[in-house]
Parts: sequence; structure tokens; C-alpha cells
Amino acid sequence: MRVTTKMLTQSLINNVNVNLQNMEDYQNQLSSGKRIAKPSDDPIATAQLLSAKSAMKAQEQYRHNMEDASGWLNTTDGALEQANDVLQRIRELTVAGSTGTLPADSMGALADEVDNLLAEMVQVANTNYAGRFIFGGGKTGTPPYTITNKDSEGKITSVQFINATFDESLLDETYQQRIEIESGVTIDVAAGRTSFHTDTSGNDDINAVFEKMTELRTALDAGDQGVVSSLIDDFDKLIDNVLSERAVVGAKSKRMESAIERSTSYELDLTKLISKLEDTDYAQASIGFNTQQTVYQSSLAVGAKIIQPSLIDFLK
Amino acid sequence: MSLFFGINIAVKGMMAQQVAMDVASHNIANANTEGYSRQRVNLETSAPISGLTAVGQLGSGVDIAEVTRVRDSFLDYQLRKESSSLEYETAISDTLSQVETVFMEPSETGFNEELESFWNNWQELSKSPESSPVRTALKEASTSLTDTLRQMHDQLTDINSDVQSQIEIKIEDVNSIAERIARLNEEIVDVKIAGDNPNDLLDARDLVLDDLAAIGNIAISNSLDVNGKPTGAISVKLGDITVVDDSGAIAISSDDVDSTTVAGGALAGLLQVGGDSNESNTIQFYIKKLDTLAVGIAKSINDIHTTGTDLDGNPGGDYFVFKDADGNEIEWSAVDWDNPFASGLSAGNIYLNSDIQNDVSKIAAAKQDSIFLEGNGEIALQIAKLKDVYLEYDAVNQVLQNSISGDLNIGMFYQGMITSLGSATSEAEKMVDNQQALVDHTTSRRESIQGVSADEEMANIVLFQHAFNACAKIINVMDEMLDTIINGLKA
Repeated sequence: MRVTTKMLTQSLINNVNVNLQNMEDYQNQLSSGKRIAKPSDDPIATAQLLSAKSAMKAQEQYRHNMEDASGWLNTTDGALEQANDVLQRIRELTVAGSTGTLPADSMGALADEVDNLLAEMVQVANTNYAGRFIFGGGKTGTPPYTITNKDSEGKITSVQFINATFDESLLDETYQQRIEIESGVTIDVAAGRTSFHTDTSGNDDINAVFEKMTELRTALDAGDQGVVSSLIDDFDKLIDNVLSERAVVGAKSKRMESAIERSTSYELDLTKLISKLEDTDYAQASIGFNTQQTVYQSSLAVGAKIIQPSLIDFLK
Repeated sequence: MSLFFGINIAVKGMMAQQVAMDVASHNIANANTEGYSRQRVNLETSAPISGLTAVGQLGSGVDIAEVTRVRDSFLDYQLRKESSSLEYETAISDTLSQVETVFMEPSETGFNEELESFWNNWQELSKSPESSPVRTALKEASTSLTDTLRQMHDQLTDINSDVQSQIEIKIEDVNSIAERIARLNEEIVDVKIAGDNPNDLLDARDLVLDDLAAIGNIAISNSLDVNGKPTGAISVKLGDITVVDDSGAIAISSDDVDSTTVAGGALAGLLQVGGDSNESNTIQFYIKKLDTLAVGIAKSINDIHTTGTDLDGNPGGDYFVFKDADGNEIEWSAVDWDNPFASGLSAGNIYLNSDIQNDVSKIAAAKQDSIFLEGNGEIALQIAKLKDVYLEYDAVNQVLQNSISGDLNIGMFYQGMITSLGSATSEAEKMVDNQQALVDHTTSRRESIQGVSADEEMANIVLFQHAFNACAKIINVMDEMLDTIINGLKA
């Protein structure tokens, strides 16, 4: 093939350009730390990367949800423990009031304590977690339980749940606070329905606990030991209600803890995957860069010599 | 037989060597001229003289037959064909690279992340539906989502109109090149009629033909005179359209060209990438996908949102709205969901409902119920769960619809689009690399034939110089001989 000076120059320019481009690729990889800067760099890996990043973001949200659920459940558990303490004391008072030897004024003293415990119970029922009331179901913004009536002596006669017209059939709707903890998996963190609105035979009954406590107080005031002693069983059942709700809450809380652990390890896996997909392999890129640099420098060195002595130099 | 005859031969020889020297000089001077093909002097012996001597014919010296250019027209054809393909792929690859920058994937700021944080904000709302900060955060995420959709749509539309104006520019280029060719045709024919070789004019015409081949695939045919001989003029077709014929240049407009009439070159590339074929190497493909995505998101969210209750106990309204050119909201109920784009819905005009924009309590997070409960986030949860709901992509109408038999969720749809873009761009880039290698190789081969080699020319110059000197020497000798005859013989 005939070779002209122009060909030499042209191919030098082309090659130097290609080498510079390759250098730029490596330099971009090394300086940004990312292997993929745009989808066309690796379409398949981009697809995997986008979906892994989506999964990662979702998983972070799920973990966040689980942490929230866990905090909520722990507060619920603490409040239920208090409710249990109140009911245990109530039961003791009931037992004391049912023994026939107590004088009327002692019965009255018991009644006063029950009234105080009733107020305490309302307070427990209005426990909040980060400003959200936990035992009112969907009624989270304002205290769900309010003392609506006191008699002439200032004793509590009725407690209202949410509003005056609250319908028992709405309990299902109310006590539903689902949090998504995994794609398609939700956990209901609403509590209080069993502890506060379930009667002694296990049926829905709004404010069953407060009603029983009011009933006890009234019986103590009236000195009606027969009624008081008949309430012992009832309070046993109400204590059972609280304990069984605590068991449920405790189980859910446990479930959250192990789920958070699993989530953390899943996030770690995803992080590894994302890093594998998008991060520069520094060893490889550095070697590639150095090789490319050598090639580039050689092409420049050759370029400097392209103006070879020609025939002109020898024609004297 | 006169001695002057020999002097005459020497003079012709000197003249011929001088012309050859001139051509060599012209070659060297044009060694770096774009499109130049080296020229060569063809020398031939002049007509011999008979009957002057007993031995028969006697040579009468040298004549210059012609000055020709050294060029391989097959390599021209091949190079133009390859460079047509190169420019076609380059136009597509350059435009798709621009489209890639619109989506900014993969990055921390791309739409993929934007979409995820939008869903996450719904998750947060489902946990704290009464919280005003959470509602405001969701509002901001939603505004940002619609802003991004509109911005991407606008940018894609801009790229598309840029392509359309590039097409116009290419058409103007074609017309001006065609006029140049027509003018060169005339000049070439004139020179040819005079019996000369219009070497430099041919080079100039070949050079603009190279330029034209970069714009579109061209076909060249020689014009013939009445005797069936080439006149030197050529007719040129760009794709299927004749742009130069015997009568001159024929101006074309952008209405004359489409992907069926032009198949190669930058023009065809631009027509393809700016066209509305449903292929992944068109801008329109991504605009449509984006529209589908925006409408799919809005429809599925609105469907759920309108079943909810807002913080004031009122039923939820449309979460997203689409606005017409005058800025009025497009009536949701009037939209034909088999072809929502006909009603004017697109990614370019999606907005968060201004009611929600003004008052975040209008976000309907709770289930519709006789008694409103502020802490109920069922609807927010349902919307958050849409992230994983598999929708059905109706490829004919290009709508994403809620369906039990769906096979992709909104995120996957977007990711699929990005993968299509990545594949189409990387394919085009690979083609560009391949074509570039072919073009470089063919250019090199063409240069090898027609390029000027300084060494070669210098060697020739030496040759011509020696011949010239020898001729001069002959005259010198002849002079001495004449001297001998004229002065030496007088006695």
C-alpha cells in the first residue's frame, strides 16, 4: 500500500483521540467512583441498579415503619402494664369490700379510692406516643376518653369514648391502624379495644372497664357487699382482657424486633448489590488507566517522530 | 535531415519535463488540500517522421498527452456509503445521549428516587395521617414529582423540536450543495468540450458529493450526450429524490423527505430519531412512555384518593389534575380512559390539585366512613401500596391500567423505559464506533490511492530535473556541432 504523510498524521490523530477517550472513561470512573454514569454505559446493570435502589429505598421505609411500630407497641405495653396495676388494686379493694365486717365509712373510703383509680384509668387510657393517643384507635389527635359526668360529690359517673354518639358497630373501623412492614404485609398496631371495650363475657361493650369500675364504686358507696363480691369474678375477667392484649402487643413487639434485624441484614445485602453494580472496581480501573496512559504516551511519542526525514533531507 | 530537428526534439523534451515538474509542484502544493487527488502527466512520443532516412521512421520527441488525476471511483462510492451510515448512527446516538441526560439515571436525583420518596411519604402519612408536617412533606414530594414529570416532558419536547430544526438546516445544506454541483457540472462540461481534463473541478465536485453523502444516501449517474458519451455532468439523487439533473439543481423542502425516501446520512438519522415510529430510538417513544407513566400514576392514585375522606370529613377530591393549554383543569370524568391522551392528558401538564396545594388537610388519608377518624390512614396505606401493585400495560393504547392480570408496577415501567433508552443508545454508540472504524479504514485506502506522497514527488522531480538537464545538454552539444559545421568548415 502507498503510504502518504497525510495518512500517517490522520491515523495518529484518530488513535490519539481514541486513547484520550478511553482515558477519559477510566478517569470518570475513578474520579466519580461510579462505574455507570448513564444508562447506555451498561443497560442491563442500570435496570438492576434502578430496581435495587428502589428496593433499598422501600426497605429503608419499611424499617422506619417497623421502628415506629416497635416504639408504639412498647409504649402500649407500658400503658397496659399500668392498666393492669390499676385493675389489680381494684380487685384487692373489691375483695376487701366484699368481706362483711367492714363498717360503712370504711366502705366509703374504699369507694373514694376506686374513684381515684377510675380517674387514673382514664389517664392511662389517654396515654400518647409522640403526641398520638394510642388507645383510641383512629382517634389519635385528641384524648379519646373524656370524663363527661360527675355527681354532686364530684365523683365520676360516666366516661365518654370519642363522642356521645359513638356506635359500637364502628369499633372495627376505629381499631384499625395498619402499618406496612414489608411489601404487602401489614401489622395492626391499634390497641385498647380488648382492654377497655370488652365486657366480662368477651363481647364488644364500649367503656366496659369504666362501667364496671363505676358500678363497683356505686356498690361500695351503697354498702352493698353482695354486689361488691359478685364483681370479683368480673374484675378477674377484665384483668384477663388486659393481660391477653398485653400478650398480643408483646408478641407483635417481639415480631418487630426480629423483623428489624432481618431488615438490617437485607439492607446490607442490597447495599452490597448496589455497590457491586454501580461502584468502580478501583483495582481494575487503576490498572486500566495506567495501561491506557502508557498507550497514550506512546502514541504521543510516536506522533512526535511522525515527521520523519524524507527524501528532501537527502537531496542536496 | 537538419541538425535543427534534433534541437527541436530537445526543446520539446525540456518543455515536457517542465510541465511534469509543474504538475509535481502542484501536487506538493496541494498535499494537504481537502479532497485533492494527485495528478500525473502522461507523456507520449510525438508522431514519428517517415521517409527522411533510409532506416525508416524517426522519432520526433515527446508530447504531453494529458494530465490526469489518480482516483478510484469505487472507493469514493464505498466511502460515501459508509459515511452515510456513520452519520445516520451519529445523529441517533447524539440525540439519544441528550435524552439520557434528561432522565439523569442512575443518580440520587433521578425520577426513580423521586418516585420512591413519593411512595415513602404516603407510608409516613399512613402512620401519622393527622400530622400536618407529614401532610406538608407529602405535598412537597407530590409537587416535586409532578414538576419533574413536566420538566422531563418539556426537555424531551425541546430536544424533539431541536431535531426538527436540524432537519430544516440539513435540507438547506442539501439545496446549497445541489446548486454547487450544478454549477460545477456546467464548468466541467465546458472544460470537457474544450478537450481538457477538469481535474481540479472534478475534485471540488467529489468533495461536495462527500458532504452530501454525509447528509443522505446518494446515487450518482453520468449524463450522456446524444452519442451516448459522458458529458462530464452528473445527476444526483438524495435517497429517492433527484436533487441535481441535466437541467440543474432541484430545490427540495422538508416535506419531500421522510424515512421512506431517505435511508442514510444525518438527515435519515434525524428523521428516524425525531419521527413518530414506535421504536426505542425515537424521542417520541420516550415522550409517550412518560405520558403513559404520568397518566398511570394519576389515574391509579385518584381512583383510590377519591374514595377517601380528608381531615375535615369531606370526601377526597382528585389528587392529581391535568391542565389544558389555558391552564384550566381537564374534566376528569370526561376523559376516555382507553385513550386519555386524546383528552389532553400528558406528563407535560400534570399538577397536584390546587386545593391540596393550598390546604394539606384536603389530602384524603382516611377511609370514607360515617364517623371521621383523623388517625385512620387506610387510604394513604392503600395508595402507598400502589407501589407494588401490578398494572396491565395496554401496548396498543399505551395506557397503564389496574388489572388483576397485570405484570408490572409503576417503578418497573419506568425502569423498563430507562433500560430501553440505555440499550438503544448503547447500540447506536456501538454502531457509530463500528462505522467510524470502517470510514477511517476506507478514508485511509482512498488516501493511499489519491494522496500526495512527498517522497514520490521529490523522486519524480529529480527524474524530471535530470531529463531537463540532459535535454539542455543536447542543445549544447547540437550547438557545438553547428559551430563545427558553420565555423570549422570555413578555411
